[in-house]
Amino acid sequence: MKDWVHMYSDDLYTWAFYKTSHRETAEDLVQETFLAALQSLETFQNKSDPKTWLISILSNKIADHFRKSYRSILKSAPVDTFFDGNGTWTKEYRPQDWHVDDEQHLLDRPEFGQALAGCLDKLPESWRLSVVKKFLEQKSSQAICQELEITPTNYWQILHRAKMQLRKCLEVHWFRK
Amino acid sequence: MLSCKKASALTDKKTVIGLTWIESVQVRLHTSACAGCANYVKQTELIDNMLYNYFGELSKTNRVMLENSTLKERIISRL
Repeated sequence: MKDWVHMYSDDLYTWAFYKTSHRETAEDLVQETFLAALQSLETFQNKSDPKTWLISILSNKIADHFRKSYRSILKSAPVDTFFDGNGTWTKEYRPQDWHVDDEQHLLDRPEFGQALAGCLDKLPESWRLSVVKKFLEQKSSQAICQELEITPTNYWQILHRAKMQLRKCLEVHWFRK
Repeated sequence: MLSCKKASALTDKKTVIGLTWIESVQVRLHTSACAGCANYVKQTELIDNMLYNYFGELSKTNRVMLENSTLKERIISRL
């Protein structure tokens, strides 16, 4: 198993990091993969390629991780600071005019990329993952819902709440500066 | 008339699973009279573009193999 760690852990880590875009999460998932592999070593037949086998364990761990994080969002009670009792924007959260004249120019600016990354990191981990899942993999909503075992309504509501938080963060840290 | 809460939610529902005809009329009616929500409509689109752009770049750079020797040692110590 030690040899396998030397040979394959970078591959697995790269894969996990690509899927979650988060260092600690990727590291934990890779570690769990090797520990799980060690426990079920007898089910591994030398016929198959160890790397393929390890990747398949890791893929299951990643899928589980996403499913768990969505479930934890669904369990949490929505905190509604954005609107008053009538559903009107509160003064603090009412979207201001961002005065974006040249969108492409904005998207190309590295500092803006950093501001966006900073705001993504400020999201609670489960919310961040919901955004990563949609925009990194660019799968259809239907495919994502099936994979995560959630309803389309839950799915768009989660994305909506994540984007509300992102929007506010960008407004404060970039557009209002 | 929709509330801002509902109008902004439907705006995001639209890009994920689409709206019914009635819903899209309701959103248009609301945003034509509400500057905050009109800003929200523009901004949520912009945020989508930002995220596609950001993760698109990220997925290009991540194809590079990452090395993590600390992780290697950590795993070996726990086997």
